[in-house]
Amino acid sequence: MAITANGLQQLGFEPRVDFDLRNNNDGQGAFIERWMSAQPQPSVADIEAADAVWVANWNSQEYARNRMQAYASIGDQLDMQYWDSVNDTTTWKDHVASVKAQFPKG
Amino acid sequence: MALENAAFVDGLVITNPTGSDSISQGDDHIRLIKKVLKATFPDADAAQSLFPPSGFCASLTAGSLANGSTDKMPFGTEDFDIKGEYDNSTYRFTPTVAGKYYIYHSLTVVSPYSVSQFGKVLQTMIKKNGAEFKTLALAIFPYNANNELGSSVSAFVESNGTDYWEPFAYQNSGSSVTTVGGVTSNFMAFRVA
Repeated sequence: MAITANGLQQLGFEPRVDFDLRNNNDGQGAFIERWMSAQPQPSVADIEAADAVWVANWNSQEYARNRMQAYASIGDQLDMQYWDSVNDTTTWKDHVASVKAQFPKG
Repeated sequence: MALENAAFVDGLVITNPTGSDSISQGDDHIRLIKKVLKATFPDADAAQSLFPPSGFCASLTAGSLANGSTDKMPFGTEDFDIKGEYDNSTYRFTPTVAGKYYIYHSLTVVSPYSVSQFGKVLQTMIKKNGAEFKTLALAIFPYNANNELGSSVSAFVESNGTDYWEPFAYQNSGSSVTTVGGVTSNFMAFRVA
């Protein structure tokens, strides 16, 4: 575990606004180079705990990211809807249902 | 008398003067040499080097760049390093001779699918002695597209012989991104004057 921007963001702080985080790639991990927020700087333990929450949230949204990648483009979906309305078919609905089935909500 | 008619150094004939030429013609040869030297190096008001005396090029091994953190980029593979002035463990270029240098840093990352990427940036920067020297916010992450995204920054700098230069990058896409190694991500520099 280490200090991460994700953990700080989870606590409500914004990079480059409230803090500058830096990592020199020297094996020491990231450190807060500057703290600009008017609020006190959180402890490392608080940041690590917040990072764990962020990671859990991120992982819980994996299905949504996969779906975004699998859905056809907006243009293609509009085209499907148009031809569905003309031909009385369910191509668009089937496409959406297929992606949702392929990547179910965790 | 074997005296060539040369305008620049490459016009000089190395076998002239011949052994049978009169010694009194020696001054003509000296004047010729002075003439072509001045014509070939018209702006030489200081010591000159015909080849870049200092420079390196290093590449990146694919890895990752964290979200919201300004990270030194680990350019660990030296393609070449003329004077051994690039340290591929600290990723630091420390030219040992004072002068003017051209420094270039390019970085390519993979933009992952994510709704939160729109309007977020990838920045490359060069730091001098640990402080930000030059930053270029070149690349904007695309919305919901799995493209490669590149950013580069270059600088023409004055280095005093102990200054050191390092490549850093920043991105705020919302999650860590994969960096692309090989020819698309480089850190390089060479001495200009």
